[in-house]
Order: sequence, then structure tokens, then C-alpha cells
Amino acid sequence: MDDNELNKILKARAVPPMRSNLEHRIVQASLASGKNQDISSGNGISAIFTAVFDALILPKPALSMALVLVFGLVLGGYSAGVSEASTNIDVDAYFLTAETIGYGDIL
Amino acid sequence: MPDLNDMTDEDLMARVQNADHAAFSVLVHRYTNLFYSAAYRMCAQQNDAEDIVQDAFLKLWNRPQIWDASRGAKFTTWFYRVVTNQAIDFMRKKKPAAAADTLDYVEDTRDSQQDMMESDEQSAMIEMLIQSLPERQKTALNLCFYEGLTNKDAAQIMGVGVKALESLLMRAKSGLREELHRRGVLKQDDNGAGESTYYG
Repeated sequence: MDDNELNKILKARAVPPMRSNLEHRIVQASLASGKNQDISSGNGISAIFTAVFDALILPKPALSMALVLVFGLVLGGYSAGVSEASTNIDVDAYFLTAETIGYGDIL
Repeated sequence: MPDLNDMTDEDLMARVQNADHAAFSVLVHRYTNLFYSAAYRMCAQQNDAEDIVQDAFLKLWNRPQIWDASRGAKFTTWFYRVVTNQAIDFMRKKKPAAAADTLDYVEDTRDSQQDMMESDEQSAMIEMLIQSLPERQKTALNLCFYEGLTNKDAAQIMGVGVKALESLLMRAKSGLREELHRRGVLKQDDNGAGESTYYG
């Protein structure tokens, strides 16, 4: 069985050492980036929205797809309302015309 | 005043959430090397691995509220997920160039198979083969085999079930075994077994 041999070969994979100052670089970069965002001290509504989205852990493509679907539904609902309204207007106008025109007017 | 170095990761994170930079610094010194190794195994580039770890720690510092202690996860398990996602995003952005490099490397090394006996060359070949695995198989192998995480923790990090993780591991090892057989690095079993066996 070659499982042990495979494991031995896989263990030969080496990781080169990182540069010795990487920790220092990270700490310095964090200082340069400013104070971290504490939600309680907050940037108001945007901080709350950020926290909610972080809590959901939605990947960006899924979030985009959900927003597009919601937008589509809203747009679809709005369009249906408009076309229904215009249909009603046309029908009402037709009957209104029919009622106001007397038989004698045509003759 | 308690010594920060004696604090647990979770206690330090609570302090980081209150903008305690000293606590953040302790976490950085405690785990940079560990997560650098994890990032390197994902991307196989020293500079890229360092950038990935730095970006992950800066994300932690700038948005510490993404850590939710109430979920009960260990800090390291959770941060593996941050680093792994960071590495995957990083590699996807670099994918066209990286894929071309890998293909060239595969072609070149097939011709120089006889020279692969030295350990550093073998290591390079293993690295190349692992990097050419599908992304999820590679991640599963890195987390379970190299980082020594349990299947449960690795599955949690990858957002899959344990069975799915085991399947990814099996396919990763099976693919590597097949390629190593083909290159003559690994001797073929007499009974041909191994291709469908789980080697977790």
C-alpha cells in the first residue's frame, strides 16, 4: 500500500520562511490605517448596516443577485400597475364616449 | 493590569473590539507565522502570502466586529476562514497569469522527470502538483493535511459538510497519487488499490 509513501512525499512540501519583519509591518500598517471601528462609538446608520451585513456573511455575488431580484420584482410590480391603470383608462374612456353619444348623433 | 501575552485569543479579540492596539499586536505576533504558512500553501508565492496575511490582519483591526464570540468558534478556526477566503479572492484576481505559469511549469517538468530525485526539486514538484489541484480540493488538503485541523473544523472553515470535505480530500489525494504514479515518483500498487480508498 502506498499511502504512507504518498504522505511522506506530501510532507516534503516546504514553506520558505517569511521575512522577519512581517509582524512589525502589519502592526505599523494597522497604526497607519487609523483606529478600528467600534460599532458602539459608531458611524451611525452605516456602521449598523455594515454590522448587519457582516453578521449575515453574504458573499458579494449572492448579495448582488438578491438586490437584482428585489429590483426586478419592484420594477415588475410597478409596470403591472401602470399597464393595468392605462387599460382601465382606455376602457372607461370607451364606455364614457359610448354613453355620451346618442343614437341620433350618429344618424 | 493583566499580561496580554497570557490572555486567550478570545479575550484579546474582545479587547481588539474595544480598539486595544496592544492586544492586536499580541495576536499578530502570536499567529503571523502560522497564517503565513497557511497562505503560502494556498498561493505558493512568498510575497503574495505575506500580503494575504497582512490584509487579513488589517481587516481584523479595521472591522473587529466581524468576530462574533457568541458563535463559540475558536479564534484560530475563524481566522483560518478569513485567511483562506482572502487567499482565494487574491488568487482569483491573479488567475490568468498564474494559470499560464502553472501550465508552462507542468510541461517543463515532465521532460526533466529524471532530475526530480533531489528533495528540494521533489518539493517543488509537489508544490506544483498541489497548486494545480482544483481550488476546493487544494483548500481541503491544506487545512486537513498540512494545518492539522480536524475534518469538522476544516468543513466549518470551508462552509461545507464533513462528508463533502472527506470527498474533496479523497479526490485530492487520489489525483495526486495518480499523477505521482504517472511520473514514476510513487510505485504502482500490485493490486491497483488506492484510487478509491479514503486516505484521510
